[in-house]
Amino acid sequence: MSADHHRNAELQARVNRLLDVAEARGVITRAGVDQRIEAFSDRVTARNGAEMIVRAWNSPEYRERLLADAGAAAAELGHVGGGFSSDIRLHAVANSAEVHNVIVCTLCSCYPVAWLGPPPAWYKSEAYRSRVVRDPRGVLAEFGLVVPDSTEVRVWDASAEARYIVVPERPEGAEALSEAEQVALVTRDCLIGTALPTVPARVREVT
Amino acid sequence: MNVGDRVRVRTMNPPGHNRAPRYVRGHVGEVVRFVGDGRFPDESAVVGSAAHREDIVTVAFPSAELWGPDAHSGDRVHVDLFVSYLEQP
Repeated sequence: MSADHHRNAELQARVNRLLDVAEARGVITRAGVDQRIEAFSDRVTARNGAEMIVRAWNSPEYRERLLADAGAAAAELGHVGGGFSSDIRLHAVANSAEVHNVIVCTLCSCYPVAWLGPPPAWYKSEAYRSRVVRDPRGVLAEFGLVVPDSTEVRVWDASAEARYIVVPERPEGAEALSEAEQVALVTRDCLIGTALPTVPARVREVT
Repeated sequence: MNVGDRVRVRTMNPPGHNRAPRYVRGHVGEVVRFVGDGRFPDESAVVGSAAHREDIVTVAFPSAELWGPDAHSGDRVHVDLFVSYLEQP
């Protein structure tokens, strides 16, 4: 533990020094950095993506716009992208009875951060990145998701300037829930494609 | 280059940065989507160099094309590629 503490202290000192230099040269302001961190931790979460999916479940017109231009559809709900490059574009890929989609970045760890929040550690692992392209069904099964043989698996490797978000199908029984309750069904992993939204048994019994 | 075109990823081994994943080099797929354009990474990765902008397309590769008969037939891997990485098959 003391070793960890020591490492963090060293890192902290280095970060502080960098911030001092960048501020002195007028590259950043401390307030700007704080604002950015706050935006990241409070507003940039998988809930943004989940809201887009649920809107698409309940509005065929929105779904059409989402699949045509996901960036613009995200902006409609106030989830503006941005980040380091204006070249980053969001593209939504829809699951159906015939197709299951899953996303990866084999070269590094490109991820739709603005709409899904920071990526999970496993998404950045070499194991996930190298295996999901050559054995997607095996990897998905390890996540507890068994894709039927008759369903086509489409892997999307974000190797250039596009980021992908999976649009899962609305599970049976979810139509009886409010939009807010539906949003809670769409987890981060559903948006990556390693899980499917499920309706809790309690709700299914009632409907 | 149009949607529906069959393309092959160039077999290449450049010394610097490159965004064509090695597992698709030399393989044939189908252009399924025009992504847009972006700064060419092989150039933009070099500090101080100006990068030209280039079109990016999504190419769908049948899993069996990449991994052989052990792959599940019908599955596909989609990769976004700068057009200069591609050639006629």
